[in-house]
Amino acid sequence: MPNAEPLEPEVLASLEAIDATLHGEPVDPEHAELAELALILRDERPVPGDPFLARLDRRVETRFAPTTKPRRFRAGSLRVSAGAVAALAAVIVAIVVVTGGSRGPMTNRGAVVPSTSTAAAGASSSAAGASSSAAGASSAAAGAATSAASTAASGSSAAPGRTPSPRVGHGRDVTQSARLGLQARAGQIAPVAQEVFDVVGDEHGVVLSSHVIVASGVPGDATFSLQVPAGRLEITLNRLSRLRHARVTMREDASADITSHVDRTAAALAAVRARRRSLLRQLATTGIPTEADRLEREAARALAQIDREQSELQRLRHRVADSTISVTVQSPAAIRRPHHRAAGFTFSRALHDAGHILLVAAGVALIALAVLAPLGVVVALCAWVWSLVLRRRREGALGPS
Amino acid sequence: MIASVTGRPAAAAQGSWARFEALYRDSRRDVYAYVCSLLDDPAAAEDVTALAYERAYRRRRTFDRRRGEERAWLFGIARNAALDELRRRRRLGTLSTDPPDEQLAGPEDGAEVALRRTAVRAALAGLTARERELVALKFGAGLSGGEIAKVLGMSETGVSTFLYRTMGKLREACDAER
Repeated sequence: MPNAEPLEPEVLASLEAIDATLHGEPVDPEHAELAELALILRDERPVPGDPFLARLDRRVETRFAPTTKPRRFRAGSLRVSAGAVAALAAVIVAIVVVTGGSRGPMTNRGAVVPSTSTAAAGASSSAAGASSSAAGASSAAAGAATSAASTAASGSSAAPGRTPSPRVGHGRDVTQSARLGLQARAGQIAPVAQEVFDVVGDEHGVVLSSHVIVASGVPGDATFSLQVPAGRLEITLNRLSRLRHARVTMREDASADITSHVDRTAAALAAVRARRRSLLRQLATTGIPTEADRLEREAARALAQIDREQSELQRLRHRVADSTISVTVQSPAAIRRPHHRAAGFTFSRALHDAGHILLVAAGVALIALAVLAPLGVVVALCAWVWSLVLRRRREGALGPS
Repeated sequence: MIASVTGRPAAAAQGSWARFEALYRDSRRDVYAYVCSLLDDPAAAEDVTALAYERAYRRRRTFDRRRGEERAWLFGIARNAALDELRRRRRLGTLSTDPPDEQLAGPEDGAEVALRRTAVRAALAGLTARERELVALKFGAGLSGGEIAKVLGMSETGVSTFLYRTMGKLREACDAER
């Protein structure tokens, strides 16, 4: 610490006399008494015994090698362990966050469609295809057994994994939809599109929308949004899976039990109808003009609500009665084939992969830092406070000043 | 000497060890004297002195010369160890110390000197703990004013004034004893 102020001459002279005495130098007779006191104080200092010094020398020579006594708990090792645990926890959190993010869409889809099952078939005709059930509990279809209808593709087409569909009936209102992926050769897009139209017509369905691209030099593809009676969904899918010029690459069935929604809407409709009847009865008996006006207004509002509830009920029943099918037809060149991409080595591919790995690593590092930085601040603060407390306690041990 | 590493790190390790060893040889009696003065218990002072050197050895690479001399750094460690021992004793409520030395003066001392020593011991007993610590650092450990300032966390001027007043107090007490 810097010397804030100069010492008084008397103080300075006394201290110099003490130092001179301790260094064996003569002092002014004026400070003889002080010098004598200094010498006595120096001679009074405790002196260690030779056995202790010998023991200490040995310990120093062995560099304080651990004795047979159990080692004392060391705060240093605790700090290292705590740091390692914190770092590990941060990395785990980061990995969970990074990898968890990529599962988001699947989770969302499961939330929208209560019961979804997907079956995909590879290009190989002999392969049964990898079958994967998508996430999503079939809560809506609880109690409904799966149907045993087969959708196995015929001929050389791949046989997609059978996707169970909920049984409709037993007083339940279940909506059903499906997605079908087909593959056709480049020149066969148009015939396949025509076959799709024919099947839909045969099954009393309608084509809600279609988009067909057929051009020379372009692989071509087609998409259809179809609607068929629910009772004919299975047979329609079977027929679409057995088109002459196409084979199934993917099929996804989805269902949702909306019974409770239908029941609520029907109950609300009945209630508002009853209310309107009541209002009309009151209107017929009242003789007060203002009361009649009020009842008329309320009856009109009830009528509007009846319309809304009826529309909603019709919409729900329509959803139950008619199922939607989304069909996609692609030619091989238009289909993205990841296994081709993975084959072989190119510089750009390696660069892309390296960039992706770096990006993921940077994300993990960033999240780990975000976890560790506040943790480090808290630990540093605690250490600082603890050092203050310890210092105060130590000073307290010495006694009052 | 143990050489567990090779190359430059080994040389650095040897350098730090050599410095520590020199510091130990130079200061072991001073550290003991200071610690014993604080604890007033030779047996406990031996343990605490050994502990202080062990701590200093473990932390020898953390020593920063810009923050002071090695002796001040070492006495800071010894002070903390001694104060921890005092705290432990206070918690346990034990005040077991060795009986005071009956030999008040050396055989070669004359009666006058013996009386003076007795008076100084009595005067020392009348000082506060902090004043006794200052005396121990100055006359027991032989530290300079700057080193004492580092150990106690005071300014050098403050240490000089404190020492001057303490010496004055001691002289008055000695005169009163006569």
